[in-house]
Amino acid sequence: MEAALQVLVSGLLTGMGYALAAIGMTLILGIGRVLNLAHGGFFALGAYAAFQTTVWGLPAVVGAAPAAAAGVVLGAAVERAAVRPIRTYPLAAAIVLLGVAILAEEGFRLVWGSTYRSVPLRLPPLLIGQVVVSTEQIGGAAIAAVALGALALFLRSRPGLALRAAAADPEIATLSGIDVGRLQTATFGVACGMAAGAGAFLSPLLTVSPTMGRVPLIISIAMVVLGGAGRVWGTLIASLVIGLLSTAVAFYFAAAWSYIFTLLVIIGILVWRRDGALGRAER
Amino acid sequence: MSNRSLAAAPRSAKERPLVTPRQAAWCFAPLILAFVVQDRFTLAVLALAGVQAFFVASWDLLGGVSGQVSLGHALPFGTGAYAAMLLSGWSRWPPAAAVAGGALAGAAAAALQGRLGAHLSRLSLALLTLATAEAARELSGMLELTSQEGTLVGGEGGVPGVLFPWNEATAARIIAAALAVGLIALLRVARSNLGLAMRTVREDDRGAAASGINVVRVRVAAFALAGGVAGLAGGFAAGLVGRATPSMLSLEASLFVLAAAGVGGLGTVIGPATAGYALTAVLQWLDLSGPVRLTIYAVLVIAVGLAAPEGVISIRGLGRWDRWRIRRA
Amino acid sequence: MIRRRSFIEHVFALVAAASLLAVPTLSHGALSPIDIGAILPSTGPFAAGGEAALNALALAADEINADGGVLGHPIRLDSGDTEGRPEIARAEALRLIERDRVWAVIGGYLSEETLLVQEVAATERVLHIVPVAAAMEITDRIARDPQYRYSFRVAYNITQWAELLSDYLLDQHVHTYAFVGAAIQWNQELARDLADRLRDRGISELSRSSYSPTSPVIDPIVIALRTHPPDVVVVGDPGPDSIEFVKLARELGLGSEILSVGGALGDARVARTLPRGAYLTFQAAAWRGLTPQATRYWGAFQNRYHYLPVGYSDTLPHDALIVLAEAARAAHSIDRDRVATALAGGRFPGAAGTYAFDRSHQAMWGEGGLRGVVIAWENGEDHVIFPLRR
Repeated sequence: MEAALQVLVSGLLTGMGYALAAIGMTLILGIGRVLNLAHGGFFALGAYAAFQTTVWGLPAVVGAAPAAAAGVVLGAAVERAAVRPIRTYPLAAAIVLLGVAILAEEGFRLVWGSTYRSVPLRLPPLLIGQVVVSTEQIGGAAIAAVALGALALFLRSRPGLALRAAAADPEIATLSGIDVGRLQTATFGVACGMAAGAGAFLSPLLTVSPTMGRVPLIISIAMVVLGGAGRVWGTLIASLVIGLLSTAVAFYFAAAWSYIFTLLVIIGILVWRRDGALGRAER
Repeated sequence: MSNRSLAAAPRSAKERPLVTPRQAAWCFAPLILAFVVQDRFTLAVLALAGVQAFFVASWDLLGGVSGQVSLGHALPFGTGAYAAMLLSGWSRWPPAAAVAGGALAGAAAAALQGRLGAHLSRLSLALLTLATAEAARELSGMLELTSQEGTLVGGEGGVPGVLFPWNEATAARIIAAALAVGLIALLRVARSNLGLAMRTVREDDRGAAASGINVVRVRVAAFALAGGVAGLAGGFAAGLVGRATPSMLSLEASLFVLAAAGVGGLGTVIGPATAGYALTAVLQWLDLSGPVRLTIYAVLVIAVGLAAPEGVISIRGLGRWDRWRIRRA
Repeated sequence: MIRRRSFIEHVFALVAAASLLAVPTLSHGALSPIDIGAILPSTGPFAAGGEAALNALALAADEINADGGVLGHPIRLDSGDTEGRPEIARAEALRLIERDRVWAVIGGYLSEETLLVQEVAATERVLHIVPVAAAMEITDRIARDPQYRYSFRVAYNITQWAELLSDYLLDQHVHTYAFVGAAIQWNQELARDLADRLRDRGISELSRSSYSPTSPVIDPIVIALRTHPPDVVVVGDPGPDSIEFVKLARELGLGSEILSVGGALGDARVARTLPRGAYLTFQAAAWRGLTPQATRYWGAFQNRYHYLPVGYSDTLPHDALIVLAEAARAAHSIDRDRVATALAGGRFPGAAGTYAFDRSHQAMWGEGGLRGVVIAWENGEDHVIFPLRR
């Protein structure tokens, strides 16, 4: 029973970790209408920033804010230079962002080398009843909750609705005097900042290396597409469900199969959901 | 909603030549190269480039012509590789038959992706293809087989089979020949009525259904054909090294074909094939350190994407081509 | 004026003539350099190991050159990036051997890369040393097929890894252990081999779990271990996920000793970031203080790269090159057949011990040869704990 409770808590916290990583992507996919294949690169940027902070003798948490800020600035720059000019070619934009991701990996390799780095876990774990939780995981979950909540509220607020309207119909928005280009740049920047912040917060629980962003990229794409592009609640629920399921499968069945199981669940949900134009028409 | 004017609708297949002489000649360029070059290393690189060109061209039929962007095209490629090795190594099939078996296996694997994804939005389909390929790669890492010599194989070391063709020169030439024939075949498909149906479905699937096209069948057919060619390429890829490995099912492999197709020119088949060939050949042939090579590749992808988002082919104008411009995803 | 200029011109001409005469005598002593091909991953997910290996090889090349090179020939390293893909490894092997005409190749890193490099080296009759890859297939084929007679492995195979681990566990009078690793073939083989050895010696395997190498979910494994904690948890994965495992294990309160096969957990920089708690131990091929050569190597590596070697993915490539050079010296020749014969029959000291090769050209284990060592991390400091007497 105690193990089951621990599995539940661990599963939920893992899910919150996925949600934290995916927030940026859901924003870009929903508003920017582009698949940010460089998302993993920004995540890794945050992790490396946290690592470098610890190299300078400071706690990793101190690096989170500067990491997020760097993410915002670099993200905005990437959007302005590499996405805005080809916004009408979403696939080309995705491919260009893939190029950015590769550049990022080689950049990390150049500065920090290819060997594995570790960010120390500084805070002692918490004991809640019979269940032990890693403080870093709780912290990450809390940050995820706050960020998701803030984003959800924002998207429902007047400026948020205006942003969504501008994204859905840029021609009309421009006619009403809104600088859609600037809005998109800002959104992209904020989303990349969130990815970097996520990387910084989750870094003590991961191993830092130049290609560390690849798996968070896959997971984020999965959570966002499952939850629905731009749907904050959807992303959260998808993340919690997958986090819980993969942990439970790993515990009760076999850990080696957890990733395959997760992939099969994703496939199953997608096939069942039938969200294509044809699928909807036939329902 | 989005802007789908009649002017953007593709014209009938009868109004344009199936394959112009210039295009056909270009398809044979790798074969000429394979005869001109003599040193083993360059020939090995040309063989690899030919395989990649084939692989990228197959993706373009799927992602370019039929508009179904797959992030998991490594699935049919790798399946073809494993099938060819199992058939040649365990069942002792001759190499040609094994590669053909690989093509069939690739077609089946891709058809499965297509069937599962027939009713999905573009984004969901992309995720579905990614997930299926990743699942296959995980599974390939868990394989445990005993080889003919009694050694334990499988897993990350991959599955050994027969090494064919027997030397780099033969390999480069056979692959280049297959590439020429295959590309011409793909071009003909793209210009056939089936290809026309694919493009109609790409532009407007509801409209296509309304005008009597069986959208699901067209979609799955595109997957099956693209998968068959990818499986063939995979069979060759495995034969080149005598081994099928999990890296042939990897996301990196899937993303490379996507990038190369984008660089070449979506929907044109020849553009992506050329881009895949050129990128592989040049980047592998030059003596560059790993990080430098990747950086150059990334910069190229970014530069072409920004300067010519419809692909290099749209600048050079190699004859009249279908332009594929997605207005809204 | 004219007379002075022509006098100066004469002087210049004399000086020029003299220098022309001098040049041949200056170059007479220097022999042509020998190129060694290093085929390792510099990009992709295994670049960490490739980078460590290349660092060590550069150090070994400098050591050899400082010692007069190989029979007077200076050594030059020529590297090729495999990207973690066997077909690229093969193409790079062809480049280095056919185009760059290297004298020997060291590589690949992964087993699948190594198998292909080995094949190319065999057809071209080029000396080939396997630095790290552990798959049995690599040495099985050497025993079976004479075309592989130029290929030698300095790396351990799985049997040897298992032997060291089991010797240590027996020495520590452990009763129970659990095996945790990645769901990859050689981890499974290691787990099986270890269990087979220990079963009849009174040490029982409480559980065997593996996680996905791509997207590992480690919490549940730790939770399961916590319910029935073993004396020792053996972590068979030398990769980055082992670091996550240790962190989670300590966070969630698993008190067992964690014995790792080394690799990522052998890195002092990583060890310093791990939570203090119960014992963390790991195995390595060599460690400073055990032999003078190892100590020298450790010092040189730290001086040059500012971190301590982890004792496997760097040490063994270093020794691979050292052994090659030693074999050429023993053979008094750089002729490939002579060097191969020397390798097959000789004994060569490296940082990890003395290398002698068996019938399948596998470096042998045992007293007077290679032994391997277990090290403990205590408060970020390393202590050799097994074997205590050498």
